[in-house]
Amino acid sequence: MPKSERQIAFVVDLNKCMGCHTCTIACKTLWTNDKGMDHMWWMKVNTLPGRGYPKDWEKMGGGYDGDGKLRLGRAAAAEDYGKPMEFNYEEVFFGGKGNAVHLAPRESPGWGPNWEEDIASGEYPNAYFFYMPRLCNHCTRPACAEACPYDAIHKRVEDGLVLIVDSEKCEACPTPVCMQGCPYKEIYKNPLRNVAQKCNGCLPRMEQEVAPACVRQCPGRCIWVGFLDDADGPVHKLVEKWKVALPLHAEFGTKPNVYYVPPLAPPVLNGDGEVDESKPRIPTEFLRSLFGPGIDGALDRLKEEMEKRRRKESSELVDILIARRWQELLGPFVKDPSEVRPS
Amino acid sequence: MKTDRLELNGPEQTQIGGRSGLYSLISKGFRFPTPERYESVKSGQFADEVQQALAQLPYNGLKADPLGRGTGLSYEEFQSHYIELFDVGGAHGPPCFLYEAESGGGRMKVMEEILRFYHHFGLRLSTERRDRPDHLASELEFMHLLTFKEAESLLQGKERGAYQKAERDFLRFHLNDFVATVAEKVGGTGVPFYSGLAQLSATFCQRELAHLQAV
Amino acid sequence: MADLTLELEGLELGNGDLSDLSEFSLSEMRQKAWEWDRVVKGSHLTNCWYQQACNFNIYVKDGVVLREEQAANYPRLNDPLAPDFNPRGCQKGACYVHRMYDPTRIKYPMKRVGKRGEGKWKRVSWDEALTEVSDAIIDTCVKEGPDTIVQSGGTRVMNVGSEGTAPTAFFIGLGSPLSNVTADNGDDHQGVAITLGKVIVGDSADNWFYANMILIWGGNPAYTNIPNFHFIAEARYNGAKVVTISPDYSASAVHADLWVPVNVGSDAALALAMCQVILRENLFKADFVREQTDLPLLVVESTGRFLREKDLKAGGREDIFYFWDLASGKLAEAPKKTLALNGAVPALEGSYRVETPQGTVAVKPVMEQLRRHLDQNYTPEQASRVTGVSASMIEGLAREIAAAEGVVNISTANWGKHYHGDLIERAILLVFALCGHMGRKGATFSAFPMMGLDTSLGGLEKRGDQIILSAAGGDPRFAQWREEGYTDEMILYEYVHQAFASGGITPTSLMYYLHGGILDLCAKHPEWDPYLKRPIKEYVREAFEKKWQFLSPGPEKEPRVMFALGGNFLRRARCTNSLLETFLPKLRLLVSVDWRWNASALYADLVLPACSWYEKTSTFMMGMPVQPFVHVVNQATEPLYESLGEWKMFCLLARKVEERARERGVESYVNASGVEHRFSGLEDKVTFGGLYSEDDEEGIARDAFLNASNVEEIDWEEFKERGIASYTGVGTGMRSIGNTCDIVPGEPVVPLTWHTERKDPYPTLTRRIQFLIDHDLFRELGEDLPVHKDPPKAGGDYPLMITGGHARWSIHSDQVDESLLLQLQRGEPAMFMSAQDASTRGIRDGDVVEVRNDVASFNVHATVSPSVKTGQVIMYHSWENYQFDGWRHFKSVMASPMNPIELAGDYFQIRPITMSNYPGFSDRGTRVEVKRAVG
Repeated sequence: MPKSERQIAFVVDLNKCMGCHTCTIACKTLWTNDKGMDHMWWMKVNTLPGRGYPKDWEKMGGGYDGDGKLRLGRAAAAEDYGKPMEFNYEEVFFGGKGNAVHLAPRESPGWGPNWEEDIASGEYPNAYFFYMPRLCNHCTRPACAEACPYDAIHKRVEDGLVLIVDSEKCEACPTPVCMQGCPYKEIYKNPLRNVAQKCNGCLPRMEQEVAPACVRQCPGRCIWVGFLDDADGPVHKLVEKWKVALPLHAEFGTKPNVYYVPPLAPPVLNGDGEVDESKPRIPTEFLRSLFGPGIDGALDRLKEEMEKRRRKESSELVDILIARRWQELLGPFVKDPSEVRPS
Repeated sequence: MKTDRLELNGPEQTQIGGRSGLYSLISKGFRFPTPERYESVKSGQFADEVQQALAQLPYNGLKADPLGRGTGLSYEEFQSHYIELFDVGGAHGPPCFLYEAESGGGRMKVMEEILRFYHHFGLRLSTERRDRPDHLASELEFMHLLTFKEAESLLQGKERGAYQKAERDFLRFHLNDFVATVAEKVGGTGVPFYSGLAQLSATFCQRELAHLQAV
Repeated sequence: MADLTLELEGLELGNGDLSDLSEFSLSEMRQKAWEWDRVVKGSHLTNCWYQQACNFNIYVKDGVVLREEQAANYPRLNDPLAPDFNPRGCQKGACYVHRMYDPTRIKYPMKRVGKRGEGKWKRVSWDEALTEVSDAIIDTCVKEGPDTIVQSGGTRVMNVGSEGTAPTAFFIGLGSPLSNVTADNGDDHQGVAITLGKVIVGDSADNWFYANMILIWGGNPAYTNIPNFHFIAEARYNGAKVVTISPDYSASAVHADLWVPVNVGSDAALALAMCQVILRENLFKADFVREQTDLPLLVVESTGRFLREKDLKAGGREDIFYFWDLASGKLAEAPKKTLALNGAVPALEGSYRVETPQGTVAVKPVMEQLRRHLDQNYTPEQASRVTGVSASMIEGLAREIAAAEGVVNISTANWGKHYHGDLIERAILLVFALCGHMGRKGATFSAFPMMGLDTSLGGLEKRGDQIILSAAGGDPRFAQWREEGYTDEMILYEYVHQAFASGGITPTSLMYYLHGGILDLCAKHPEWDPYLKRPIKEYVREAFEKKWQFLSPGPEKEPRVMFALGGNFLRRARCTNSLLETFLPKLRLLVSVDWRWNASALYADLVLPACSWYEKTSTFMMGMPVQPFVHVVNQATEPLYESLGEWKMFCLLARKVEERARERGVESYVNASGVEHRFSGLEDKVTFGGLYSEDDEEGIARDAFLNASNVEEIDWEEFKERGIASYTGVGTGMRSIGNTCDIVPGEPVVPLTWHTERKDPYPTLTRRIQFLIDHDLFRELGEDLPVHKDPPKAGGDYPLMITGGHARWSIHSDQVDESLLLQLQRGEPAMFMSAQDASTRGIRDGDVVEVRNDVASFNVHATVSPSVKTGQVIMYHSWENYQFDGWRHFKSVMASPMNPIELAGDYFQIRPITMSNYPGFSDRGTRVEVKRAVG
């Protein structure tokens, strides 16, 4: 696979994400509100710890083994997404059945993109949870593309976006190997059109210098987009310079390009209801299982710099994270979509 | 209402005329029943026109039941059937919304694509009716227009492939599955006129798709 | 040969020339996903309160709205180091178009043909529908009087945009009461009203950025303030400590620096114990307390009441108070026209003796009484037992709050939903007042945020200066008020109170208590609330007798016609079953005006389709200091189906009422005060004498904007283009003057600075922030100083307490059954419960459980999480009745016993006015038991 000249990357600050799902809806309405795409949530926010979406995706495998060899896992099955909810509105409103019928999905979906919303782990009062927006990682070594026997998935040279470029070839493919290859389970199959579909990085927007919908529409201002090699850009600084933004499950071997600023949490309370600073509320072990060994340094730097600011000292890191101007989050993609005409 | 008229000659043109006419008839049948429409159903005029169109089709074997001919229903009863089936529901169970996007998955993108189909062929939604683009009657009306334009192109010796492709794609990605769902929900209710109309439209669209795919 | 005729009905030819079309490619067509005809600015006319409104670009193609995206064009702030407001917006607004084309839209007028709620309808024409409504109105005005025509009131229409203008004018024209629905939801802030004399006090979100501490106490901004939440995260990075106080580990606790788990309903004890620490350790800001609060005012020791002028001399006044001036060593009259002390130093300690005609009496400052009260009852150890918060944490928090340069609170609308919420608010206010965290940048107390255009259009939203000018011209009380130092704010409140007293505005919660059988439902009230001294109905009788409270129609009458107008009372109010059984049968006609089939519409007799938010032109009349911008809605497309905007609908209705009255030969009727009203001229009253035609909805929106004095002066077209304009002042409208501060575009809104800096008096009896309320009823109930009281066992003696909150996923019920958003939940109502309560009851996550108490029961899915406190269950707001099995709504169990303290009146700041000082519903702490549902 040719190496990309530049790489688009995303940084998500989990200390700013409030779990509102505006990114989810922005993506859904722009790309996947179509037939055969009910189960597709190219962007979604999961409550962590949790089984995620699709259910137990972290256990399905994919990516590369220790020797860098492609390792196919399993593709998510229908029940891992949950059944699309179809509601009996007509029956409730007009069925003439009065209160004998109530509004509910016709069939219990059993699972969904946000099934575990706000369900904590641990024990009261030291329970913990946080929100994690997830989208395609546009990996530097995309296992989906490597797995595709038809060369239908490409990693773009100019920006590193991973796209399904040939839907005819894709349609001809009888196997779900791309889904097996992707360890993040960010490739979805459209059962009606018999093609694989995935996050396109909002390429049609980016080509017009408009930021991806999930980034631009995030009211929490928690997602940055930009070129990873732009040394002055916040993405580069957070990932490379300050090393507070970490990839998710780097051990999958695909070199993902979505980075996360790990979550802090209020201190735990001891049996007497007093603050106990000796251990964190979110077990570092758990964070390490997501973000790898870089977690300790990242959390320390984050706390240190925040402490500086509390002492009214200056901190470049904190300034970046505050993002005083909203456009700072958009990288080079600062145009207003309403003012851009299709070429 | 915009009216345009073609004089068709020869079997090929007449066949397209039959198809186009049938789309138009079924479309009208799925609109809210005005008193005039009710009269035309009751008097059998509607069923006769359907029979005429069926006779012109390029393929055989399509049948229609009497489609409400001589129905004993009053106008009020007839109208209440419509409301019950498509808007309100009642004795026959929940209604079947006559909007394609409600028949499965993805409201806005479905509406958007249908709108683009219309737009591509110079159409827009009636500003008077203010309804969604994916109403069954409007989709059928669109097929009526495409086949009308196809006949016109043929008449004028122009290329008609664009229309045929659009007809095929519109049926394939939109109308055909939609009418099948409607037929499934309404076809079995036994409600005079509408169950017959739903079944007819499903079989017709199915035959149309096969016909166009063979072209 | 055959003819083929092209016949189009739902489609029209009109886009380009067909004749040249020789190519069609589906894949090319699909790639043109970026096409649109026009983009207009708009927003969502829903009452999302703290969040509202957000400027959106609405993309339109061939008359169909395709999508929306935040405009993100909020201007930069003056401080280059402050984060800006962009992009704003939330997931609900970002898919509104999906909702707009929902098949649950009401398409044409419908008339019920079965029983109420049975779901049998027939289509009728607008003319038939309006005729039927008009006839019912005429019959009712003549037979029972216009005061029996009521509205359930809808914040969506009546308070939000200019489309409320016509309905408001229509009901005023008829002589029917306007409704005040604030307390239906428990959105009232009674404790703030008691203490500050007003409820409308709110800062802007950028003000949080300047705080050293953000106290999220009584709110969940991660759910309810999505567009502004980033300011909290940014303030935290900027060095602020974020403290969240709540029973459960909420979405807003996740990002806190300290989470204080507190027992449900015990927040007053927590606050009072912090006050005890602050006083005990002398950490309070004495200057602030001396100048701004009633704590230095003298109390007669033997009576516990304020020392008043009438105590000192015969014929003395009730409303002149005193402090002991340490500078002069003498008794001094507390100034009424200003808070400025002009060199005086009021004593906060000690006991003094004053001479009265009855002899020498001992007096002491309120502060002394407060200290003793706190030392006796609210040491951290005592409070720890009530709150579950450790004494050391209470002490630590108190010290940090006192030491902080600036603390802001984020409370949203929680406390009004507690039976004793007024006490909680009074106690929290005491913390803020003692520490002086009020009226400074980065140091503010916020309650009910609201800011309105003080336009000259429409009902009560008249510009306050017009009211004041006309008062100056014609009201004999005016000169007296000014003489006594009344501020504009105080004069406005006089007029609003008058509107309540005359039946012009009526509180709907009180209506449901009395006419909806809810008061009867709570027969067990004395068992639930051990503090109750007399039967509740006796308190109610007293309140009406003494004219503390007012209701229209009064207790002797019954409502006959109800308009559910942009609101959804059968989902909103508590004790649903009682309303269905007791309230609905009283109605001759229930009309629902809405764009969607909600619970109230399903029980209505007539349903009138309103168009939705992208189908009309409107100016937001209600705004928020949280983001001090006025928003516009440009009509993006024609109203769908047969729907109409409220403006046109009520113009036509007024015309039809006149027409039917003429046809039926009915000319006039008398209102409750015996004044004659005529049907003729009603339309003129709605259309401002014909100034605006029924099609000139935009004219109303335009002039509402242009005639306001407190917004930047840009022309209408520019406003429409930008979508937003900056507020430039609080204006003189009733619904924003309470903020009492200047508003400078680009600067944070810091409420109460007219008091803290300009030294304007507060609109209270003592003209100060008032913690001692020496009203008889307060004394009877032992609430003259802020106290903690255990919540009543509302609903019966059951072990679990319901809490709740506004939802992440819906603004009231506007999106509660939105299919896209339901897919991001579990598709059905869910109730959070603690891991421990679930396990002891054999309940697993996802099980259907029955929730039950003495009043009612309902079934719901359980969501089990250790974030929930044992003993607590959480039902978030606004699920619709028809989303529950058997339509047994979750609010049906919320017994909502009336708290008699809310009946108090006739005490300067404690008199019914818009949004406060009348009985409201409560639900927090409602007692229930939960078990797995059978089958």
